[in-house]
Amino acid sequence: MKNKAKHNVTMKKCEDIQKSLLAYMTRELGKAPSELVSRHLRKCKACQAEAAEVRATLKLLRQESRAEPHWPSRLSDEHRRRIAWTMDHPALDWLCARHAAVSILVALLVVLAVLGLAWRAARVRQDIRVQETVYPITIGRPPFHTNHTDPVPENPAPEDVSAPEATP
Amino acid sequence: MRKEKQVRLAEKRSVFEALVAEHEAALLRYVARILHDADLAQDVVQNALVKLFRRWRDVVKPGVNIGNWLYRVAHNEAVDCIRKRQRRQLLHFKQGVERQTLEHREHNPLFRENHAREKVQAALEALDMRERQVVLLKIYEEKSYREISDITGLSSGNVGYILHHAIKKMAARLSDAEKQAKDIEYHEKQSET
Ligand SMILES: [Zn+2]
Repeated sequence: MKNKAKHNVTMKKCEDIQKSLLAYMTRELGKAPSELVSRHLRKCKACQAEAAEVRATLKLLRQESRAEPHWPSRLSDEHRRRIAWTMDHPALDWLCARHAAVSILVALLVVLAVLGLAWRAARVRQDIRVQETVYPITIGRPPFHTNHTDPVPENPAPEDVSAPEATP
Repeated sequence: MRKEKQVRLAEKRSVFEALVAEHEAALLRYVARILHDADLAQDVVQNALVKLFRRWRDVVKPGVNIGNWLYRVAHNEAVDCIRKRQRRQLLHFKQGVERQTLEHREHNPLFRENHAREKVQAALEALDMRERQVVLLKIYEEKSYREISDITGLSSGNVGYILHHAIKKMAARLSDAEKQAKDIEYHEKQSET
């Protein structure tokens, strides 16, 4: 019973040690925990095996990182020009950055403008129709005189003007 | 007033140009490793730098590590790039492209020479994006847990946890590959004799 408990404690300890092996190898552990790990590693075969595996993987990764093709270390002239454009034209760049919102807004404005024009055209047409029906009544002509191309007399008829002269 | 504004803009430009010179190489390398594509990496890094210029007031202030901010933005841009590429590949001739790259690899005389590197790259590819990001930042870019935490938004404890699991996964994959290679070598020798 006592042995099993002791075994569990070591298991727990080994688990913790193995979890911190990478931090230990990359110098991320503090001084005290590092000493604890190195002391444990000196006497625990299981953790030694685990450490060997982690070390081998790290070594392969580091080799690979050094052997990798040399990526260009500088942005191309074309990409530099694009950045310079951003610096020279902040207002245009602001629009470019919001091109989706700006195009939706423009589309909306166009739709509104078209609707507005259509509404105005409809109103003008309606006004003309109202004038057409009201015309004969306002002029005061008999209904059979509906030809509105007839010029409306601007001055009273000559017989009306001469009428007061004849009265005295 | 106008002159003062121009002076401020000129100062901003010179600080920005110094920042570009300081960070472009590391960013290009990091993004190229994530994308396996140096040309796309140029686009991604350019976008990250343009974003820095646009968000100048939010980023260039005390308490913000601009290098870490750029890594974060470039990483997100790269992930967007991968998503777009995956969508395109799904839409188009995905299988055709894969077959072509495989054939190209097998006919490439460098392929066998680079076999060890291919294995490590395959093991890296098998990780999920978060694990790969943390491995690249820690092992390739030699960042500290605290810097990785600042870049990724993860806690330092979480960074250690993810790294531990990523290295375990890679170790298992690499030892499998090693075993397979040894088996193949053994069978080849047997058939020769
Ligand atoms: Zn142990």
